[in-house]
Amino acid sequence: MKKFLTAAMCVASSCLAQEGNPFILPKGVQAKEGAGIPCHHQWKKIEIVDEVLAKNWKNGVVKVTPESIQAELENGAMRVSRTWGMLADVAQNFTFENHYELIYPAEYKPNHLKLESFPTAFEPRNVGVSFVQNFEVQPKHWSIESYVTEFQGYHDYLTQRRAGSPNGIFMPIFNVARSKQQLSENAKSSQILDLKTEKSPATLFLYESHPLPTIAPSAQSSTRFQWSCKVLKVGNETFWNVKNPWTYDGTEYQKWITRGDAELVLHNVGMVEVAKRQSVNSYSEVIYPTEYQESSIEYKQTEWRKKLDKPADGKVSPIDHPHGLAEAWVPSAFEPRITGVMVDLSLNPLPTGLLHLHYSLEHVVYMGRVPHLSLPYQGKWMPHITMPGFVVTRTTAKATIAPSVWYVSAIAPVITSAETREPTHHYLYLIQLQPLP
Amino acid sequence: MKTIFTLILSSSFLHASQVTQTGAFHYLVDKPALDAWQWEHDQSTATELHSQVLQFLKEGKAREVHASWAYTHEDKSLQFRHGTEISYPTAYQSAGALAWPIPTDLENRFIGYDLRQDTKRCEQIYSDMNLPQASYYLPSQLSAQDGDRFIPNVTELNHQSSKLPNGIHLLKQVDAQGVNGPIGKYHLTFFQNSKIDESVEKASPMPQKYQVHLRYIRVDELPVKLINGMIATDDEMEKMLKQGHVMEQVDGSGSGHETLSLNRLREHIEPRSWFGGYESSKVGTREIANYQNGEEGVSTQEIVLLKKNKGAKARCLPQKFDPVDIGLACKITPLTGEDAGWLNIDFQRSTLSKDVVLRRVEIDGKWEPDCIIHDVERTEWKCTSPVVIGQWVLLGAVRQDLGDDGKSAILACFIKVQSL
Repeated sequence: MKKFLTAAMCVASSCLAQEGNPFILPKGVQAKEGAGIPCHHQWKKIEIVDEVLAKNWKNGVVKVTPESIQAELENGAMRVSRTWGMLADVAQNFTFENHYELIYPAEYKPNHLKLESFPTAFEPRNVGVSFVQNFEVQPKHWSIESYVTEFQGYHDYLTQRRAGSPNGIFMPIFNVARSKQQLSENAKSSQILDLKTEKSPATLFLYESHPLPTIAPSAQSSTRFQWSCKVLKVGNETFWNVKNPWTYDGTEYQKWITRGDAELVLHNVGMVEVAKRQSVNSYSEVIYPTEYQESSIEYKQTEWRKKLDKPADGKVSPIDHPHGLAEAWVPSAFEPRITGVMVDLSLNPLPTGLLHLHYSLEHVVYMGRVPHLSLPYQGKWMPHITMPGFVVTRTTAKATIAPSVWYVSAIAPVITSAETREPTHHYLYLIQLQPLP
Repeated sequence: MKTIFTLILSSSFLHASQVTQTGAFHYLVDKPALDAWQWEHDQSTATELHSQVLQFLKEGKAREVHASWAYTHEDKSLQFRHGTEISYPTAYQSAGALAWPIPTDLENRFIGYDLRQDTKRCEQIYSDMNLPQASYYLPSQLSAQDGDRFIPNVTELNHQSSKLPNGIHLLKQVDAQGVNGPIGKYHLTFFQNSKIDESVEKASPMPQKYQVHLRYIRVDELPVKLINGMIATDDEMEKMLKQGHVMEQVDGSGSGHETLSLNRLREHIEPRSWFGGYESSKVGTREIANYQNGEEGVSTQEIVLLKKNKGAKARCLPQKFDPVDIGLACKITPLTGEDAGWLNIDFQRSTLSKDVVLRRVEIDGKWEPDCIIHDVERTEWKCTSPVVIGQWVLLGAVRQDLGDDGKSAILACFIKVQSL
């Protein structure tokens, strides 16, 4: 059974005074493919920590603008709990996704022994965020589509499932918020998406966009380039305190690592050629069961009933079980899943010496097996029916970049479980294209 | 008159064409050491990086996993494969209480190096299998031994590009993955194309009647002069063999431009699925001839009496089989016309791996192997090689990493053509 709470939307049109309008191209610059202005797009999840403010917010009294949010952030009434970001040219379409792929039981078979029921069917659901920008020439406008899904109750469920409790039925509550903002040519706006529920504190999403400083390209040109992608895991304290991680050079990131404030998680290098669609992948395959078959369950239950007639302390506890256990549930179908960093790109050099990059970057992290049925063996509850968890970060964009310069192509919080509320680190995805002789 | 014309044609062409040596190198490098160097040398070239990796090798911060050299006519294609064709289960069925499940279907997959290059394209695939992979079956988890095979994790590094110019190129640098994630090392694969003149200078036209000697040898090291020059005399070959041995040797004779096939194969029958279960009782033993790594030996096999049963002690019986050709197979085709003086060579050598256990049964309190298969280790070269009468021409060589102790061995294939 699914229960949805639909969040209200709240939009405020305004612009941070000191910033240029990210949606307007400077005079003389055409919004055509291959002549873009690189821009970093950033989304911040902001929680209202001030009790009075939160109360007013829930009642819909307080109207916020990006300026007022900035002020509240500075005085501590609001705080940023996580950040997403990506690199894309102004006035070009892009997509950004960051989610935990949740696979949860959707059907159960009752257990007559008053033990946990058996999951018999599963359903997938992405829990996280996705942002899409669409650029339309006629009529000329930009739109940002946001889709946020959060949910509750998983931790308790997993705790019960690991201990064989009969109450371990997953009744997910998904909080979903969607918005589609149309921004006219003259709009000077950042975007706010409100996601609030009865249980969670008032939360909003702030969208900002900043053009990158112009970088003069080197005179060197080539038809072959070395693609490098570094995934940095940066502690929140460092991440929140840096002025602008997008414009740093390699040595600055190295200082973070030396100080122990960051860790180089992945480094992926490959050779690419201009004017071709190609991939630079670094991956492993995880093969996991997708279906389980039940067998000889009647025999198993008979054994259980005999053991449980006289429980020592009235509680269900693991009991050594010599028969029936192994054949209770057998994985009967498997599926492979690629994990790692996958990059698909095409690259075109521009007359200016810059490079026009059309790329998609996907980072899939295997989070291990989540037990949905545990059975006792030698005094311990052993996971028996499991489903995998994956965290996916995926961006698709076009960006005009200078060769041999490190760019932050994406930022995403480090998610450690389906219910990560307070990530302690963020991933920075650094990319570089270095000309080869 | 015709012979004279052919001689003139081939000699002039031989001097116009060259041999391309293609080297493939794979290293595992300590991540902190390389990270520190790369942050400092952000714009380093592949040559500089390779030099640094060689320095790391001396300092014990890197390990060479693979090095190979293959040779072909500069305008012809080259194919090289070295690795293991593995099989792993893709479906199981329950076998009863606390028993390992029975594998009912297997899938094949090539793990190792696969390199293809022609005048336009260059492709390299390196794939690796992480073992042991956790089983999804509780009884297997509790009683599995090192090397027992379940559904594996496979890592693959692919490179595709236009044909690469002469010089050394970094194809890939990626984090090495273990069963439980990154292992703190990088895979680095390099690729090197270079020209070899010496072999062509010594090259001669193919005689009308000829004898071919093919040798597949294993030595501790090959002289650098040979790797970069391709040609060895009989004396040099004998000297090399003092620190190694011949693993396979075949000879044959041919005439004209017909394809010559040199085979030394045996058909091995491998089980592909099983049905169960039977409980066995030993009634005797027998000795049977057996081959492993190309060497003949004798193994002892138990003769058992089977009784239909279920449970941990119930054995399985093989149900379906597939034949596998094991040994050496080589096709040699002398080329004609403007390519006269060159040989098209398709060389394949395969051996069976040691036993791979897919399932165990409990016998007298011990978990004994039940479903056993074998992987096939393959080395293949498809290339175009110059004809050098009376001398050994190197077709290709592979340096294998033999483990963590830093020892390695070189497998090399030579051909010698003699005029009859």
